[in-house]
Amino acid sequence: MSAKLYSRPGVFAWSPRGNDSKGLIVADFAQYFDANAGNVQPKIEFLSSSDLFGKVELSPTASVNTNYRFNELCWANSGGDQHLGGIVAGGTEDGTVVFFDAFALINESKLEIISARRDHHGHVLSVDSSADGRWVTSGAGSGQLLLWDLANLASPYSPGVANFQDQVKVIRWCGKVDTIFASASAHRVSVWDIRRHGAPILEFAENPGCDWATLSWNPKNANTLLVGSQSQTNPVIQLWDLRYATAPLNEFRLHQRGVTSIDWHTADDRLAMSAGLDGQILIWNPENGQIHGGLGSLQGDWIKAVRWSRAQPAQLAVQYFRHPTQICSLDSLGTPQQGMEVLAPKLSESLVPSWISAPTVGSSLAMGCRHVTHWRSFDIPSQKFVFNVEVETAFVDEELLSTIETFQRAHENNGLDGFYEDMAMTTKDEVDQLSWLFLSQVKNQSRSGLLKLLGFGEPDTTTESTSDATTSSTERSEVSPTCSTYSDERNSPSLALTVNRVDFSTLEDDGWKLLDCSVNGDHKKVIEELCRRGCYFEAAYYSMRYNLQHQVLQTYLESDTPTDPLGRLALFLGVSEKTKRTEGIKTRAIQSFPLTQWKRLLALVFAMEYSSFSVQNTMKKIGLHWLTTERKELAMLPFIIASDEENLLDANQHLPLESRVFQALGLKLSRVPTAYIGPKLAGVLREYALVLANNGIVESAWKLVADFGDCQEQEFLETRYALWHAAGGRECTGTYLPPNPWQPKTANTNTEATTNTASATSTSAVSSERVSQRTAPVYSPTTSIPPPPPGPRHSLTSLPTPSNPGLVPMPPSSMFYQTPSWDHKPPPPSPRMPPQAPIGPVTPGWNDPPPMMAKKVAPPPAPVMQMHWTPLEPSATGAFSPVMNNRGPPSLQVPSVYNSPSTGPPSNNTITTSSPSPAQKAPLAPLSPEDQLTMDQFYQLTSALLAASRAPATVNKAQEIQKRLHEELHRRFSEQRLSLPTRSALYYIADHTSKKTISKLRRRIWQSWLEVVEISLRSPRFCRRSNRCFSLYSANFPS
Amino acid sequence: MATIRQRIDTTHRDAIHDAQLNLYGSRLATCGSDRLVKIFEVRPNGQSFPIAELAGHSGPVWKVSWAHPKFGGLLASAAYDKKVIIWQETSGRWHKSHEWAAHEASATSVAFAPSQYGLILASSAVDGEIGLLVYDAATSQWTSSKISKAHDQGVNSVSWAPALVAAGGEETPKRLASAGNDKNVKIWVEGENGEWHCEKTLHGHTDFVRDVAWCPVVNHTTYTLVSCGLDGNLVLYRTKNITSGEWTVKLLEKSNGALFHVSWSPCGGFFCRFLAMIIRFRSGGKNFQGQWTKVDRDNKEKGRHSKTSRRDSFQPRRDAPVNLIKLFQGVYGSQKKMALTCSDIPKFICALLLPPIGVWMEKGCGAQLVINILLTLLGYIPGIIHACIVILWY
Repeated sequence: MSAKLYSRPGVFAWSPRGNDSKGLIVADFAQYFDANAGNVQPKIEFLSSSDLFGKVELSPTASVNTNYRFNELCWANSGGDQHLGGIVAGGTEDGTVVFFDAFALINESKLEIISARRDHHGHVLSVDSSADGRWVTSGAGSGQLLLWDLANLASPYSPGVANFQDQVKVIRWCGKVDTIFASASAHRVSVWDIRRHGAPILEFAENPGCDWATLSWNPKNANTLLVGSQSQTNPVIQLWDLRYATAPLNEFRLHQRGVTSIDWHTADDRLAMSAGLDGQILIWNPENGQIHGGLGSLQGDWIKAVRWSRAQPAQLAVQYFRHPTQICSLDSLGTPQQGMEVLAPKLSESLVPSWISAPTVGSSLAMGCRHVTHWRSFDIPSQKFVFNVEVETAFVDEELLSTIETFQRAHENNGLDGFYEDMAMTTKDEVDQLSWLFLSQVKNQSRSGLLKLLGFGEPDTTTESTSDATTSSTERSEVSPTCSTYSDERNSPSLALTVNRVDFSTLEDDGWKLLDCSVNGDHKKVIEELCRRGCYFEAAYYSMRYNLQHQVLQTYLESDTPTDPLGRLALFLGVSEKTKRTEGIKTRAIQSFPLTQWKRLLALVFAMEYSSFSVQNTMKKIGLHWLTTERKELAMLPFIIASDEENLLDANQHLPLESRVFQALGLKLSRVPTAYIGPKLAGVLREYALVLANNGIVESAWKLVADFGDCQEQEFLETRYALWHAAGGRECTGTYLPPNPWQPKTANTNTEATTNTASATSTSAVSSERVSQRTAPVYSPTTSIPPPPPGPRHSLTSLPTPSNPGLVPMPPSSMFYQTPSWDHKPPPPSPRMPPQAPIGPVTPGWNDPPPMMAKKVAPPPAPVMQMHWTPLEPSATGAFSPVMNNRGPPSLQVPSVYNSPSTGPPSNNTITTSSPSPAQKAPLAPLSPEDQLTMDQFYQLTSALLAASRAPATVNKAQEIQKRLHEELHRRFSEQRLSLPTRSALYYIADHTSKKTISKLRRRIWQSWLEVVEISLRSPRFCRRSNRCFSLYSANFPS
Repeated sequence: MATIRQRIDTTHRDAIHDAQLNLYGSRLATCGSDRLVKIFEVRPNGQSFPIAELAGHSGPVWKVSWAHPKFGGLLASAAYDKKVIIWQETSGRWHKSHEWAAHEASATSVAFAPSQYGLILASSAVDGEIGLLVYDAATSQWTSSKISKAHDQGVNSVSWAPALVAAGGEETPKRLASAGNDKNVKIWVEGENGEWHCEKTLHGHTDFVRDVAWCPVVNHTTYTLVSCGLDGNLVLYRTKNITSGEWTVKLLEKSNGALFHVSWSPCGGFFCRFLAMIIRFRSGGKNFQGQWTKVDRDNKEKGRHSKTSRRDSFQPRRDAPVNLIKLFQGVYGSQKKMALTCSDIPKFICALLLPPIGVWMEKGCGAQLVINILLTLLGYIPGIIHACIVILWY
């Protein structure tokens, strides 16, 4: 929306559409009246479009002097080859029509006049060219029209004789039909068709009072045109349809004074521009006359012409009679000239010019090769443009898809072994192949199988096969190396031989001393002495009896005795198993093992190590060593055996990504599934998942990462979060939203509201509260600081349920709740009940079953037992302390004093005296038969207790129980204050105490009261203990 | 796997100018001449349903852009009414969060910066300016700045360079690419003091450049840009060292009609519209030196219009788009043997006959050509070998 002024006034012509040089040609105006009477040299100049934009002060690209001054210029694309830049035609003041070559003017600054014939009389007021660039028509006085063939300008034709003698004011060719043009004189408009010579095909608009000065064709059809009257009294613009040429379609009175120029926009038929003698230039809709905008004009002058640019639809130029040419643009003209803002055009925002419409086709791509395309198409039945939007998953990589699907299917069907065997078939490299085969054996870890893979163990397959299950250390002798069993067998006969040679008579003093030492148990000294003498073999045999082999070995290795390397190796083989302190030797052996013999080393470990644990340890060592050597890929094998996927990923870097992932993941999956994964596995997993997603396999990618929510890698969590969304959210994945790795809060609100519409009511209420607390929209708490790794705190805040117990909780998926915890260790076992709990003040219902929670509020919080229990506390602790201490650990031996069965008759009177007293206190309602039965059984139990033991503690306790049974249980039964589960539990317990089926009872106690009491079947202890557990019931049964 | 094509009934009453999926492909935003922005939820299984209809612009909406999901649901739209509006989702409801009267003229495009830079928005306008809007989390305020006179005669598109965090942890300065009506693509870089200056002007077009897109994948230090314009050129720019400003320009495709739209997929593939081509680059390969090959794509319905048009020897015009979408696929030499493309076969023949011609067809005039001519002069065979290497390599 800017404007510029050219330095000179003048008539202009825009470059036609399709012309290479864009801009406008400006020439001197024939009717220019120079007030200063200066002798101004007329010029023809070219202003290029780029200059219009780039230069602040406009200056011509090309300029030539001439003698002609023009009334109107037109620039036609000529069809011929001679004039590539087109031909410019100009009507002069003396009746001459000048044609010159535009190319020569623009590029060579040369006026190359093709033709300048003076065929008209008087001013040639108008020239215009046809749309195909073949014809030019000029019009002058006396109704004279001439038709010029641009290919042959030698002589003009006459389109016919006008039946009027007025001066032709304006000629305009129709933009749509190449043979039709219209001319206007003051009182009529004529339409000519050059195919029909002689006369105009149509004459209309012979309205009285109108003084036609301008016309403009509709750019979209050949039927309608606008004509404007420059009459001061009747400044009307009429819209005519040539098919109904009797009356105008519409009539607009937009200007106060006469209309001098109209131009209908060629690119957008909703825009027309008109200029009036009132100094206004308006942009309006020719259909209905609605004014959309206008532009500022220089005051104190009349506007001669306004024209839209043909090549640049946003640009337009204004010609004044005396003032410099004004060039405007609806968008930008670069650096504005000073003070020209007032001249800038304004266009209402309600109307969008069609040429600045954005493209109606496009597409965008998102994760998982999802792409959306929008395009316009023409609907033939309805004859309308329709706009389509389509989302699809494109470019799925079939190869990748089949691989990952095979893997995942194999995993789901527990057929990973077969998958790995197939993978092994695909590779030629021995190490790679072995690594796959090892993986296929990982689950059943049979050593013989592994050995066979390495090419060993064929000779004694029978013995090996019996010892397949070698993972347990108990069977180690079976698996242990063939050499050791072999030597054992050989030893026994040879021993018999040597026995014959033993002869103590030859012993010397030293020998006797040694014998003494041996007798005294100073075996070390004996061994030392033997070693000193070089009798290592003997020393070793001696030491075997006392498990002191390591000492011999140490001395032997430290000595410089020259030995065959083979011998040392054999020694290593023989000894490494037996002693625990050979780690150093092992390490040395591993390091000294030549790389070329890697198979043997592995086989050796399989053969020699006795527990799977130590196999794994050794393998890890070997692997770590091999990682440092140049054959890193070898380290794959030990790491697979050691089931160490993190290091495996270091070793198998030479493999393609998917193989690496499959190997590591296979190891991971072969173990107990946990949500934790290490950083390296997370890295490759993420990478592979992204590759999958990028190739359109989102679902499998999500499955790949779905199980591993417990990871410390931020990137992995981000990817996991993204894949969850990409895989279709909750409906498609069936899992809950993983914790947002960036920002827990927003994620919660977003997803719950969108994905879980059902439960949105409650959650959105919460989230809106949160939102309202914020004053300003918060997009992210800290955008510049990298988000902290999601600690357990974050994850917890992201959980909706713990913070709001009142909410209806979402059904917890175990996956979801496991994710926040770092350590993949199982949670610590729920602590046992604190021992003082039954004694101390008991909160009512502390161990109630959940349904009771709601009911608990209703009864008044003055439980009977609290009142009765608290005063008893000191006596209880004092009296029962040994009993209390004995609870819990079952192995604790009870002092026999308490166990001694008393033979005396049970002091039943205590019971009888105590039992009626509470009954007198409170009149109790009769019990139901079941309740009564239960009560009776409990009474029986207590009496049995008393019968079993007469120890004062037991008696006290039994009395206490009876009292409480009577006072509390009975009352509650009678008042029916016990919940159904509690009551049924009581029935159950009573039933089983009577039947003495203690194991069931115990189980039931476990279940219902979480109280662990060891109850043995031996009657005294049973009695005592059941008594105790009883006391607990009576203390704690809920109201 | 059969791809699910999912037609979405947007109920836009007028032309649709942009449709964008968010990063995850779970949300779709469309905008159109009816001044509305609409948001849909789309699922991989083919379901879709509308979420919101956002009214607030007083002119046609040209472009929408999603922010990274870590900022929550955040969408920006640029419209003819010179405004850029940022829409925000809170608890499932969408509302206008910020309105930015960014420009003097129609705002042509809008783009959120890579998430590593925080919430930054760039917009372009017909008045030749590029606007930048930065969100300050501390003050919860948006601050705006401008690059004035970015392109003469208007900027059509802006695209952000991917944020590359170097191994040392230092962040590369922010970069923008813009395409304008001055037939240039310009690269802007933010200086130390937060001021933007033009780092490089790339010439590859002979007419208005309509769209530019920066490849989101940076292989080592190789940045890739692609632009398309009204001249039908699809141009690929690539640099190994962005600070040096040495860019190689390669004309990927010369189409008959104007090209209006180009975009990469997040993994690095891109899409070009209007006789449009989808160009995709497979990331993951270590070797970025790949060949761009066209991959045929069935255009059953979309192509119908174009086929009939062609039979009538119809000249595509701006307002009558012909939607022929071509798929391009980038292949990297290391993993798959697809470096030999159909277009290479004639080159090979030429290379065997006269090696420099083969090299010239592959690389144009340049250092490789000179080397090849020298080698050919020294002996015919070395020239052939060199030519074959060049053809296979690039």
